[in-house]
Amino acid sequence: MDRRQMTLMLSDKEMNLLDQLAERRGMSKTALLRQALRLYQSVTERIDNGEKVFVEHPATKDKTELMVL
Amino acid sequence: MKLLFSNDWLRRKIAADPDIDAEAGPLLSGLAEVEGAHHNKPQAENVAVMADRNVVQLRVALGVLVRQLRLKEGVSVAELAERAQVSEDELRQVEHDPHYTARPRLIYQLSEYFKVSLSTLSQMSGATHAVDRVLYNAAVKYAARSDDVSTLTKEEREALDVFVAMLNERSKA
Amino acid sequence: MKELVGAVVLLNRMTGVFEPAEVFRELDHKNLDDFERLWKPVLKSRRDEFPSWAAAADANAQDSHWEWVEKAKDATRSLQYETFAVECGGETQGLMLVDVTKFGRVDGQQGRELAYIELLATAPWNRPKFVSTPRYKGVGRILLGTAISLSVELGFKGRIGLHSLPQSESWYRTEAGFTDGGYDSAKTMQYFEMTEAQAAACISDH
Repeated sequence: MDRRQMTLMLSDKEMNLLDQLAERRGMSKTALLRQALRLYQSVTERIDNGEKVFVEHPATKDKTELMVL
Repeated sequence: MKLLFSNDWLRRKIAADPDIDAEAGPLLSGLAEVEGAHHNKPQAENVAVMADRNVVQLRVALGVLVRQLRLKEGVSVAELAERAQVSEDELRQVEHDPHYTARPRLIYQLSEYFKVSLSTLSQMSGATHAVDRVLYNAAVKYAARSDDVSTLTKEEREALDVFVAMLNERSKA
Repeated sequence: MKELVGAVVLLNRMTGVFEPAEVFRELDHKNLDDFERLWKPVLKSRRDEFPSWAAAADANAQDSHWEWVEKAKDATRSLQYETFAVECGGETQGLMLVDVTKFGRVDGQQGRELAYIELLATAPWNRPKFVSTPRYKGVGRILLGTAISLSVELGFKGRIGLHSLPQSESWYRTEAGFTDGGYDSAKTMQYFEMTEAQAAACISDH
């Protein structure tokens, strides 16, 4: 598999968040960032296909659209 | 990416695995469900090609059979659905609606759960083009004899056992 | 780009000998061709013997066929899907489509990332219940091990999930060591998941 390199500069806040999320999800930071990319692509594709992506509050049933093109 | 298992592991597992297909996800064709059935094709001379009314009669018998097997266990439709891991709605329809086409998975699960031959249950669900004549006649007779009550009489229980034995015998024919 | 992931073995049922086989990540024209040219005719000839079944199942069959082929083609540029093929004797013996953006449902790993096997299929000539002289044994095992390996590679620690066809349920529950996640009425199939511990136990050499 071809590999290409990118150097990523993150602020303290971003780095801390990355640490926290990675720990919480039991993944390495790089694994988490790759997964974030996948999820971003998958949501974008659904919207491209005409679907909508919502979050819903379970109790109130309030819906908010998550991402719009 | 690398494979995390060794070929030694693979050899050992392949040798020990039973002959069950490891398939996952939706069917690539509608055929996987009839696998059991194709080994048990009825004899040509005993085969009747079915008209719609024949299908309805067989399904009535299937509904009676499923209901009686359930009553014999003393469970409700909801309970049976949970135990046999099928949809409650579908189960109700099989028991009561002879115009309902039961899905292959339901028939398979009931066959496994009640230990009744898959090929004969499939024929009774009206899923096959032709059906074993002897089975057809026995099924119609069996259904005609039962009453729609919520418990099985002793005679009904005996008739049920005889019918199930015949279904399993017939699948070996 | 299709790449070789590993060299494995399949048992030739007729000779009783293990033959070398390969696992590839990403499919190419050859695999899709094999599916159209080699798998489908065998599937179709069986279907012709059972016209009522075909009529009842046709709609679902067509949908699932098209969906998986389109997703397999998308997998090249999509990060969401991974595809794998097992080849032996120059032919595609098994295919697998994995969605890596799904999450666990069973106790202890709810909401955790896992590799979800959307499709796992072995060529019809390998299936004992389908043909009287099945050819190769082991495609399911290889693909299961591959899915676990993918899960580990992605940082999901071996967690995998799938929906099983009825005739395979006992294999997943018993031999393969999955957790039975219950009947999923949305898919009308039984749902299974493997935890990290189960995955480790599954591929362990002991």
